Amino acid sequence: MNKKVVVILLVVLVAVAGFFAYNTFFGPETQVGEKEVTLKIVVESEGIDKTYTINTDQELLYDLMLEVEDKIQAEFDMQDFGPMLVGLEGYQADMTKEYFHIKINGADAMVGVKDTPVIDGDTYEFIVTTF
Amino acid sequence: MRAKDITQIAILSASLTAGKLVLSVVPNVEIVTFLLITFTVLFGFRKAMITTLIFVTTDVLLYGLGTWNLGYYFVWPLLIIITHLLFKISQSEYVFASLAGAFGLCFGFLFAVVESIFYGVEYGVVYWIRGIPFDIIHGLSNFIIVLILFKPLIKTIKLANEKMNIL
Repeated sequence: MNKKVVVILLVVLVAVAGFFAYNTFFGPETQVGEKEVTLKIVVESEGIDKTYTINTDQELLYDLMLEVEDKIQAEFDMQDFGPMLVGLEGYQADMTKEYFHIKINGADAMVGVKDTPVIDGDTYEFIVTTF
Repeated sequence: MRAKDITQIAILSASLTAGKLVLSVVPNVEIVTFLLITFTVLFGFRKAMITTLIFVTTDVLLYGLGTWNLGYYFVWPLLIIITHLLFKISQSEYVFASLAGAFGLCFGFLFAVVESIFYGVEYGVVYWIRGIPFDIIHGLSNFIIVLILFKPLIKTIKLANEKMNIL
């Protein structure tokens, strides 16, 4: 077999191993089973300030939001890096000047909805913020 | 600098921007690394460096000024410098493919360093770790692209040079 093909196959194998290692060590630590969480949505300019208490088995915030999509009217825009939250409660953020800032128990979220684990008792806030 | 050099740099910069735009639909697969390595090898350090700076500035004009393209002013010239130094030691496509692969793997880290300056080290660490899967794809695709295309492109441009004296 061509030497280059062999080298490429080996590098692909190393990359697959790299993905596996990443998911093992850095993947979101999720919690299985029934959980009760709070979703708080704030759009100050529209006078929207809603709080939902939700019981769910979902492990990631994105899946939870899809589960209650009709209730919270969640809209996402699929980007290269994953889903981006663009709308809630019928309000679409003007992406040229604002976005949905996500807080978990009052602290700024460090990752997006697709990587945020749903933990029992947590409060997830979505606040339209200008930049 | 002669008119020929200025024209060459303009064409090389345009090819970088065009190459980037063409592959922008595929996340983290790009030919800019491959082209920059090839340009450094063929056209030399000085021309490759000027080409890079024009390419990055064109990016600013196209997409606006942000921390990400400030990072480009740091990472792409770094690639030129490393390629230039490596070229003195080896001319093997395996060496350049490995450089391209390593560069792709470290791309997120290099940007995380720049992001840390603006948003703090904690943000930089999260930025880097969350981007590792993209860096793996970037490194892998860079390696394959350079390994397959490096020699044929060098050969083609050298052949064209024999007929048209473009170098």
